[in-house]
Amino acid sequence: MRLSLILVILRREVIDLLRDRRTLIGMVVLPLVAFPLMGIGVSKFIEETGKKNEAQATTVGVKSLEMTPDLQAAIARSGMRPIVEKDLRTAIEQKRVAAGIEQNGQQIRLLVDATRAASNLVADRLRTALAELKEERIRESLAKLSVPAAVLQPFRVERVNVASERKMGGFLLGTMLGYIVILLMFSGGMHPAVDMTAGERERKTMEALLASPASRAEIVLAKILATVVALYATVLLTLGSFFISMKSSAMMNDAKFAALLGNISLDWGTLALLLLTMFPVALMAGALMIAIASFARSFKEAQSYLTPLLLLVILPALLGGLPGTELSPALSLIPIFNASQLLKAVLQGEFTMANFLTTFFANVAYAGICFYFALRTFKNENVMFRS
Amino acid sequence: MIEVASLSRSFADKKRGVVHAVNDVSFTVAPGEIFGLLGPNGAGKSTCLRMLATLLAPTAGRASVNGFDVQRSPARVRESIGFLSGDMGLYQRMTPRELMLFFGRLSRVDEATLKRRSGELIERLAMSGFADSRFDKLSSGMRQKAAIARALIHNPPVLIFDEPTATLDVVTAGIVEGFILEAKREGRCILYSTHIMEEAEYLCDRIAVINEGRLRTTGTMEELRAVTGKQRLREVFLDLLERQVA
Repeated sequence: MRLSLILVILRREVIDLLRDRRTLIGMVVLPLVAFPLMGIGVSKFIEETGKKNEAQATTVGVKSLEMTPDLQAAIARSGMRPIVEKDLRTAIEQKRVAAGIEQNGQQIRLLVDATRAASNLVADRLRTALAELKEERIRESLAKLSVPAAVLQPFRVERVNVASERKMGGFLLGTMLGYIVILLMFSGGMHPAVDMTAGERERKTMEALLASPASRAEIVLAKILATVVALYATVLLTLGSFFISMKSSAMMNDAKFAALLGNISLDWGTLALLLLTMFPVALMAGALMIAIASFARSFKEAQSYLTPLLLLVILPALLGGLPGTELSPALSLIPIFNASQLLKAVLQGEFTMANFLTTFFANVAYAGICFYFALRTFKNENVMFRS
Repeated sequence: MIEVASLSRSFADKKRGVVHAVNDVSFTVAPGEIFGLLGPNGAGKSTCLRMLATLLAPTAGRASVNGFDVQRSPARVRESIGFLSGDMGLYQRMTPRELMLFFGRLSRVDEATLKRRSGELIERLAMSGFADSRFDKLSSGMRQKAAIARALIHNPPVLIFDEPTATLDVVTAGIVEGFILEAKREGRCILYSTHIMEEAEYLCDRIAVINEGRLRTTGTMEELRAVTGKQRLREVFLDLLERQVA
């Protein structure tokens, strides 16, 4: 193979991609706006939902205002306004009150619509107030009997989270990062792959290229590399946008979120490892997409072949990011899943070199297999010259 | 310059079984000669030319272009030819100048020569007004000029043209014909496939008639007239086809 010819074709393909508005949208615009938009969206959603819930969580339904002193005290302590309703269930369903409370002898019952955040919030506040009141009554009784209050607490239980903040951040972000990066990468490379193969055949420019001194292997490799350029540009922009968003986007307005995200390492090492993880995946995706799209007679047909591929990719990308799954040497061999897992592990700062190398070289091997199939397609006269 | 000996190409078809698209075809084309390949649609012309351009592999026989065997040295063959087909597309987001440079670089023409040659072709084909405009903004005549320039940018000794004027208007077809005659004067070996009889009669030194994959006859216009007793090529052509049926 002659590198100079591969570079000539690659250059032309890349220039062509940059002149194509549709490719630019998938390759540049989407990755750049995905994370900031998501950040702003999530932050706004959390803020608005919180405000709405707080505004609704002000009332509690009661059967009568004549209540036992304990119940009156609990309601007062929770800060809720009691509203008399004959049918508490209906009142909650119709959202006239957020939750309800009723007493039957010693039994106090909280009525709640568990599907509504405001209802849960009221119930939680009432339960806390009731629990405090209950403890106070017990302490008073114990004091009358001259029994020390310490009997109530023979030992303390404390739950300590040993995961570092970085790991917690990686845990949360890793769940979505791999999925988003992989999905955006595949969708960013779809149009270029189709355009360079089926599109070129549809526009009848392929024959002139095949009749040039470049060999089929040189042509297919250049096209794969051009697709990889598009795919990797998407990855670069997505990860770049992700890192910047983490530092400065509206996500940081949320204190809890900021606490989780703030300690994620934004050093060059992490970014380099994330990019390195995605490189063989981009190679594999480029070769696979060119191989598949080459079969198609037309642009539309190629798109219909590649759309199921996108759906096939979603599942392992999603599973790889799910909590509870951890990378093992065997799992490192599953394409897409391994990359999604490794992205999460890198963010958490917890990956072994063995897993990293297995994942890296497994994906390089898959890229080689896909290249072989793409080359076979290009050498197949029945495929290349069918009409 | 082009030597074709018992060249055949067959393929399997689900409905028709084994189809012999080109069957035992032999001919030679010398430098400075325009050799016309005439035949009705589906006769095997394009398959034959595609084999000579190394796009399709022969199933039997052999062929060489500029001294290079199409199967053993396909890359050298492709370096020696300028291949142009009537329905070939052009990259919409490129300009004619960029197209020439691209194909010139693929033929490993050095940059200085490439610049000089592209400038010459732009001048000769009167392309200076649109050499830097994208193809999606050009007329069919302008595009065909650029396609010719692409085929000639690496100064190939052999030209293989597959119905290059099939979709063109009379004016643009005239430009293409003029250029082919000029290429002949430069000593290039030209294999020209067409089903436009007047064009073949006007351009070709020798004509071969191909039908159903087989070469029916080869000769100069005078030789074909002598064989058939007809004057115009259209009549000669139809006569040869009728004889075959009979």
